[in-house]
Amino acid sequence: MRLLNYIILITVSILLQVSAWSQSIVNTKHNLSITGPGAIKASGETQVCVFCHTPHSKQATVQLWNHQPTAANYSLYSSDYLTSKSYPSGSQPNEKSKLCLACHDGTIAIGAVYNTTASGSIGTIALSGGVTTIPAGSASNLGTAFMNDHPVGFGYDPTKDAELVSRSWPWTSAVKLSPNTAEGKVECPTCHEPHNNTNGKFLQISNINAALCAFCHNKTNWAGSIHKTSTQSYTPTGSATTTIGEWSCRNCHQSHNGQGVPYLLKLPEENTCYQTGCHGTTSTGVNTKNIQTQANKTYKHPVNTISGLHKNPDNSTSLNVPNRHAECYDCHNPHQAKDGLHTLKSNAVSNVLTGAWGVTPGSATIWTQPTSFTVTNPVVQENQICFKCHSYYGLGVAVTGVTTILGPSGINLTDQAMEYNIANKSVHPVSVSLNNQTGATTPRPLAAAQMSAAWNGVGTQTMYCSDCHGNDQPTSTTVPQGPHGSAYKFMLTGNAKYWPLNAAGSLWTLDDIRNNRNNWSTNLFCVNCHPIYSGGTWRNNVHSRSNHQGAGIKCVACHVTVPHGSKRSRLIGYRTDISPYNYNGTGQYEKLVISGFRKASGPNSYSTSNCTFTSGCHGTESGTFEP
Amino acid sequence: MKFVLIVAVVLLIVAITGSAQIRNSKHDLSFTSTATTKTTSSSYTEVCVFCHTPHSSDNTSLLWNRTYSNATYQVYSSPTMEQAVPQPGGVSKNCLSCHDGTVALASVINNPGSSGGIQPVFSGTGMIDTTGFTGMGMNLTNDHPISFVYNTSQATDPDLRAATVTGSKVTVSNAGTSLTLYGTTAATATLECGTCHDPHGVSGVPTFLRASNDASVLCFTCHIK
Ligand code: HEC
Ligand code: HEC
Ligand code: HEC
Ligand code: HEC
Repeated sequence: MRLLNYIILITVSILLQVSAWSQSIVNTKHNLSITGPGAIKASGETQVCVFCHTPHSKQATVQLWNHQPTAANYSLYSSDYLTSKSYPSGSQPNEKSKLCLACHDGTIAIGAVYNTTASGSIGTIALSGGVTTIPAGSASNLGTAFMNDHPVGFGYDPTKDAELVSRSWPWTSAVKLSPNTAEGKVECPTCHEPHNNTNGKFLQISNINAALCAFCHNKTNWAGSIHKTSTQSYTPTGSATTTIGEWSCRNCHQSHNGQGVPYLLKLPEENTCYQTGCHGTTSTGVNTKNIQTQANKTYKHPVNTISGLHKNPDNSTSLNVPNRHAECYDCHNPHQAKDGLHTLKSNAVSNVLTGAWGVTPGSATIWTQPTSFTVTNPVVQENQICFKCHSYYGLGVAVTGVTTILGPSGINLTDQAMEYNIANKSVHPVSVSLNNQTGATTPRPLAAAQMSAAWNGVGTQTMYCSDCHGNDQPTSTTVPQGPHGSAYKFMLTGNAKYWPLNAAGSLWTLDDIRNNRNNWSTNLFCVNCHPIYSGGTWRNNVHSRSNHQGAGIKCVACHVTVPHGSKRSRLIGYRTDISPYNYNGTGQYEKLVISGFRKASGPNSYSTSNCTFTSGCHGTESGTFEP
Repeated sequence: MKFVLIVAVVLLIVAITGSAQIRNSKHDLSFTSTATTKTTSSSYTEVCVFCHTPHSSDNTSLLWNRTYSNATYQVYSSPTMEQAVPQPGGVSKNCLSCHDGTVALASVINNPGSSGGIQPVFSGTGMIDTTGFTGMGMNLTNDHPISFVYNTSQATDPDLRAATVTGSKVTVSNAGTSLTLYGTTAATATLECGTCHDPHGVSGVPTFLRASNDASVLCFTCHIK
């Protein structure tokens, strides 16, 4: 009986011992002694602590440090973002980090200690296989360039970056600054505990659900974002399959050795978004869309073609020539983006664009370039994102609205903030509803009959830039929507995508409509929303005039070619207007011909007196015309 | 009382001498020793006398025979060690009477022979060289902390093994290695040089250690890492 008790006692104590060891440094790669479990270990040395500590040293050290120090000078992490917050820049890593770097910068032999176990001698402990330093190319060799490593030597300042969790000093957690005071710096031991690998990667606390990252980083609206909540399965390189939501921050960022500098991105810029299982060509996730293919199309935002110009945050200089660019981050905020596209009759920012920043143009007189802007962060309306690049803010001075920058569709880029100016006589209701378009004369909106059924909120409805510009497969649920890229000029979207030229390359006419030519009902861009002619009825009495329906009379003889907005009502242009507002083709009616226009009281109330001409058509009329 | 102690120690000295690990070790400073550091006085052949005497004026049970150093030491400190480490005390002072390199090895109080005997002679400075590893000098900031109460650290540091009190002996033990703290209660027992070292040596164990530090077992006796 006593013997049995003994046996139990011994067994229990052995078990306790084993469980104690299981969390010990002895079972980790930091056991560099000959018994170590890792590939890198000593050829003869049996002691574990000696690689880092000695009970007696002749050096000035802390914590009985025994490893020979590194003398490297490190290039530090920096980013526009931190600069923009006037976040105090970092210093060289302090002693705490340098202890780790004595092996992990790859400049000093792993076995180079002060006090070897041979009594009282300085020397280098031999490693098996002739290994000296941590081999170059090993993920554990961080080198001396720290631009792609989580900053160390940096203070922690939530007053400068409100997205850092603030807590009182000293921190009573495993995660600590060095020293543990308001003046403390983030150093290697802030995140790592070199003796204990319970959490993997020697982390101080578990990083499941990116809890270690979240200990310090509290990105606005991250908790509700799709990248945090998605249950889509994801297999990170070198790790077991998990979900996007669980992998969280690590989907895009890696604390060391990433290829995207700065911001610790896995890959440069858009390639982070294009990684396998996400938004690229290789293999998208179950519910994720392949953006990479879109952005490779002929007419596109230059996401794939321009790199290295994006700043965070961008400003009017970094968005203007010669820095014009468009990265995913310019329109999307991956920390806040949610699932869901926009709905009709609104311009409120859609879920996928949530959290991006934009600009709101200040006021300007009719048909002049707004030159004052307020940064709107986060954006409220989608157009504010577009205005960053498509207004004076990102284009600079263009007194006529037309820049010298040639766009991908072959015309010079124009100023959309000028075109959507609330003081203009006519606009598509991108910024405000037509009832609120103060520059427009009554009746401000079109009549309900001039709109397709879906657009039944005349006068009160608004719309998105992306109602007209977007993907060329707008009805597909598997390809992404939005103006990433398209096979059609101006990335025109909707069922009908041709303007001002039809598929055959000639200018649209009312004759096409009247005589059902050139597939007008499925190709003429305007009919996506404006029936123009249906059920045998013309929706205004100008279009119905047979004189206007001649095959030679093009839409662009009366309407501006860039149908965003006009100095005149109903998107009418004058013969004095310049290209590209004026199509300026060679034929007589391939260019703007009107020299005066006044809006009638209703769509069917037009008479010849509403228009005047210098010559031709119905000649000169008297009265006051819009300037 | 003192007499009984003296008798006991004398007996022990005799007992140890029989199987002395100390003989010819670096702590054997007698002329006949094979150690490098030793006296050049050919008539000086006693081993124990460099540290002990049966006729000590020293008031400890060690029958100490050496002049203590009166140095003030820079003690160990670190951001992760919460308690302040005091000046060396107890048996550590005995070690430092040679190892701080300020007291002549020859500074023996009671030399062998009658009427004060002869003073042993050493070559060179006659002191332990503090540029080498064996001489700690006055700078103990880079030596394992000593002379602090073990339990005070253990109470706040889950990475330290709890001490065991058996009668008036306080030890820290793990996996067959047991190290002794100096003091009779857990609340007072301190960690000293003698916790890790036995100045007389242990058979088969280098560097006068109490137990072999192969696989760092000595360190793991206290540190749960
Ligand atoms: C925590 C245990 C510990 C304490 C306390 C300790 N030592 Fe040591 N000491 C060691 C170990 C282990 C070694 C062997 C180091 C090696 O292998 O290089 C050592 C080595 C030495 C050496 C040989 C020189 C060297 O570094 O190799 C001297 C001399 C020494 N100790 C003296 C002392 C003195 C004097 C004290 C008190 C002031 C003391 N030790 C306290 C553990 C300790
Ligand atoms: C280098 C100094 C030194 C020398 C030489 C030395 N001792 Fe000691 N001795 C000590 C110290 C220090 C202690 C206290 C050890 C302790 O605290 O455990 C001690 C303790 C003792 C004790 C007390 C019991 C014990 O071991 O704790 C005895 C007995 C003893 N020594 C006998 C001897 C004998 C016999 C010799 C000669 C063969 C000798 N010593 C040589 C330093 C020395
Ligand atoms: C009488 C002087 C003296 C006293 C007292 C003394 N030592 Fe030493 N000790 C020496 C000398 C001399 C050496 C050899 C130094 C050398 O060779 O550099 C030495 C060497 C050592 C070594 C190194 C052994 C090796 O193999 O490298 C250790 C460890 C050591 N002593 C520990 C202690 C401890 C612990 C105490 C106190 C318990 C102590 N000594 C007390 C004189 C002393
Ligand atoms: C007898 C128990 C004991 C042994 C054996 C021991 N230590 Fe310690 N050690 C301690 C205690 C107690 C502290 C003080 C810890 C504290 O308060 O933070 C300490 C402190 C340290 C520290 C400094 C920690 C700090 O926070 O600054 C290091 C490093 C260390 N020991 C290394 C070693 C090494 C290496 C060995 C083996 C050669 C060893 N110790 C052997 C008990 C021991």
